[in-house]
Amino acid sequence: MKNVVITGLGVVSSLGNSKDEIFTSLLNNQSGIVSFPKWKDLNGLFARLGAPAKKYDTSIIDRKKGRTMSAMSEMAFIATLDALNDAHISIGSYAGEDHFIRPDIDRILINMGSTTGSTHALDQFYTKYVNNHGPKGQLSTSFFKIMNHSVAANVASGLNYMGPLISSSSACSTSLQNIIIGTELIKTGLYDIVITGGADELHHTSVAVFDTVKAAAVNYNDNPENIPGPFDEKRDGLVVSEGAGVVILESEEHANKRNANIYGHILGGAYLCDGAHMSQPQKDSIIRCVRGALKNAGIKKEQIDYINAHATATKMGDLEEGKSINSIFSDGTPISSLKGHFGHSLAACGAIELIASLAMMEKNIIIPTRNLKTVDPMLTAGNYITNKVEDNFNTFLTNNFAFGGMNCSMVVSSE
Amino acid sequence: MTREEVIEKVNNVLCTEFKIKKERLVGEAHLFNELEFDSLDAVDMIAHLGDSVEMDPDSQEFESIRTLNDVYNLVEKYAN
Repeated sequence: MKNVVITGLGVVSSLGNSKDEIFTSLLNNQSGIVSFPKWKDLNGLFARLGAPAKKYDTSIIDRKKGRTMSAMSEMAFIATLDALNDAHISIGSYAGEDHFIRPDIDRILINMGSTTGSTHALDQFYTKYVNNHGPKGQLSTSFFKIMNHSVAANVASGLNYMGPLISSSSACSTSLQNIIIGTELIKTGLYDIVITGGADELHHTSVAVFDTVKAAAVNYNDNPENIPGPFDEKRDGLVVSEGAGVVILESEEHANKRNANIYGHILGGAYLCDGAHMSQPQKDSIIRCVRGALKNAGIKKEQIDYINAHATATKMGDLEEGKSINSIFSDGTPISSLKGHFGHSLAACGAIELIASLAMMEKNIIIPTRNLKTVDPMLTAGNYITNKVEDNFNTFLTNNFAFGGMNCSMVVSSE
Repeated sequence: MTREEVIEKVNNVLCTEFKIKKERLVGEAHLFNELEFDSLDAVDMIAHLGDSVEMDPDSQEFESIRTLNDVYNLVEKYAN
């Protein structure tokens, strides 16, 4: 079995559009969460908070490529270009710089997904459809933004990439699951390089999904700066964000042969479905998933230096994840969630949080959960850090979970 | 709608939605051979124009569009 390393990172997020920019934002305890007062006009929507992506440059996108891209595809494409630049890899029509390598196209896979197709395009399509009592006046390019594999197809089209392409999706665990799958495919020797991640765009319909199931934050609409963070006793729900996270996975052998910069080694991961409930997280299933990741990584729980929790600030989700972590790990292992800073970028969050955790590992600084003042008393054990931890830090576990009972955990090490 | 108004409306859509420089927008310009249009662009051009001019071209009318003058003629027909 091949070893798998991470050799390129690309990100568009509410806290910045590079690894270093998001780390600085995290270190400065910044939040990407802002108020959307106009959402008060939406009948039945109580949440008025979101975390939009930082401005990104679409001028580099050719018109004919860009006409089928919604925001999620634009962000994924830009993050992919950044990841390729970072890894010094050229593919398709993207040449990069003179010293970039051009790998065998049959040994590369692109796998990216989103929760759904473009929510903005869906809104525009059906608004016009209803107003016109049928399809009259629809743009031909709408469908290419709405289809489920829009992000993957648009990234491939933007690059003129002609190799293997997959678009797998599991809502909020999409990008972490894709990274684990990519790791497994490289391990088995099927590919040398996997370009993978996920993207989602912010739209009030996504917020409404969580609002409807009473999982969105609604009590801090006028005070986003002070919204209680994940694991806090006063937390009242999640805030939807947007962005894209893309990583370049590579067999260690392939990376070493070309002297690539290595950000981390993916030791192993697990993606297990709980098969029990569409929206209620199940502690026993999460435990099974985390234990599976540790087993596949071939390491002991004591070797984990940091746990990057999925925790989105929902009442039940944070509790079930916290209890699961506490039942496996010793009290000392630092735990934090970055959703208090970024918001919840859905399909993108796994890759974005991985990139943030790699930055933390590089700097030997663990960022605490933002606005975690008092840990939920139901969490009777566990080191839920409220201040940054500066210590040697070599291995971390990262979690992401999704509606549909999708649980994902992965172990990453610096060597 | 006068011919001049039609030309202005069509050219504005082509500039704004299709990023075509104004100096390239001459009546004889061939949409597909000179202005890099394809079938998706043609459908979307009619959709954008349809936002301000009530028009419902049938397949034959749609497929007969070749040059900018053809577009001006089509819009003129539906606008008046």
